[in-house]
Amino acid sequence: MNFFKYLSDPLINENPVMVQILGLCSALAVSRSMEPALIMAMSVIAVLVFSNVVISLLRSVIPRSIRLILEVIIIASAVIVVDELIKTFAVEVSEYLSVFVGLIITNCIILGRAEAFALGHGPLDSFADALGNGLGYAFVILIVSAARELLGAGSLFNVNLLPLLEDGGWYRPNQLMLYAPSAFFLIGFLIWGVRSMHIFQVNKSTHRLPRHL
Amino acid sequence: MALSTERESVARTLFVAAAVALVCSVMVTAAVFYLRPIQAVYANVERNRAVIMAAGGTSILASDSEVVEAFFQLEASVFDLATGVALVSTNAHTYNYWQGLPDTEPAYLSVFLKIDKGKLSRVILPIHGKGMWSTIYGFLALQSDLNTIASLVIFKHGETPGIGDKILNPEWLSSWEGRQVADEDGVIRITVSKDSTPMLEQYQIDTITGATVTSEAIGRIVRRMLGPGAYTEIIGALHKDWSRYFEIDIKTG
Repeated sequence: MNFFKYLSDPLINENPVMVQILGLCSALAVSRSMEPALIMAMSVIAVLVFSNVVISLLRSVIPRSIRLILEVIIIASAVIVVDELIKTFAVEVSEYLSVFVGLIITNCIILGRAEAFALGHGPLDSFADALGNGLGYAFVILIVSAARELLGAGSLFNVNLLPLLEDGGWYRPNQLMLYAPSAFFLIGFLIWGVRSMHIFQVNKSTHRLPRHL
Repeated sequence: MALSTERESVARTLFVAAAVALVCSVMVTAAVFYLRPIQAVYANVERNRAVIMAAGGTSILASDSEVVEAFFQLEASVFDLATGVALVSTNAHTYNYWQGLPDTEPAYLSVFLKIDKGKLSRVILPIHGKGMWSTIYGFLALQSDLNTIASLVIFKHGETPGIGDKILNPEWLSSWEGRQVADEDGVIRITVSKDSTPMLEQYQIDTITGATVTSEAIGRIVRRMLGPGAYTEIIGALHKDWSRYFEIDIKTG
């Protein structure tokens, strides 16, 4: 039953963004509205699953001395393929996302899972771990981008929900939400909320993080 | 930690590195090789979408097939910029008029006509030129008098995000509509300027605050494209008898 544990743990209990505080740069950069956030989340999941499974398959072959550079080559290749796919099938989003898609290579979650998990586990477990961590990342940036788009532009997925003042409605958009720092506040609130709810659960589990975190 | 000496040997390390690099490069090359042609097709559709938006026909949300259909309903001809002569044998709908840019100025450009019930309704001209940093591409549509601007569409630019890209502001673009290009003597007067000159308002578009350089560059691009060496000859020829240059069957005369 390890498979499901590896899959479900990173969703909340060991969420890469909220608990390990990884992948923050892209979580801040692409969470202004939901459409790019969704495509970014799917891209990260795709790259993470691919690189984790491949690195896990190669784990007995990879020489330790060039371990990191091989991991980066595999991750970078996956990122280029994903970038080309987005440029082909989501042209408009790619103009907004392209520089950030390239930066998936530097998303700490991906190299982190390769190092911490894939090198020491089989491909099936690595698949579950990658999918779980990818979904955990997606969970956070989708919540943050939903809040930012709704409060900052009155819409979700570019569909207007709160009638804007400038169009004769009643909602005045909160400009702060359109800037990256607002994502800091929102992620901070998320971390606070989830830790308040899960403190009991975290203590009972075999969580390896120090207690003061 | 005891390292497996066999796994860590120099030969083995080099072999694994080369093998991984080779497989990864094949993967990347294959992706680019198979996806680039599809990207080119989509890029074409997006360019044609800008053309039909300039023609005033369709919204930006039209589906790809609607775009293609509307695009092929426009009349098109490729013109030699130097002489103003139409190249009859070239298919203007598929001709890639911007292909040499930004390095080589094109000698031939496609011109698109929108015909309503046998009457000329709009002329759509591809325009291009230097912005602040980048080459800006767009389409300028003129009304049937060939002097009143019907619409301006920016297709592609590489100006600073958040600053120069204010040229995409729909309000500013629509402020071009109805402006006159040249006066009665044929002198090109259209300009983008901070100041407003009395009596010349019909030739003036305001600069964009915060994007002065780029918006003035659009003004220069439009002036240059409509001026000598670009569309002057063609517009003159179209003025005399536009139907001659297009394979159109006009029943109403």
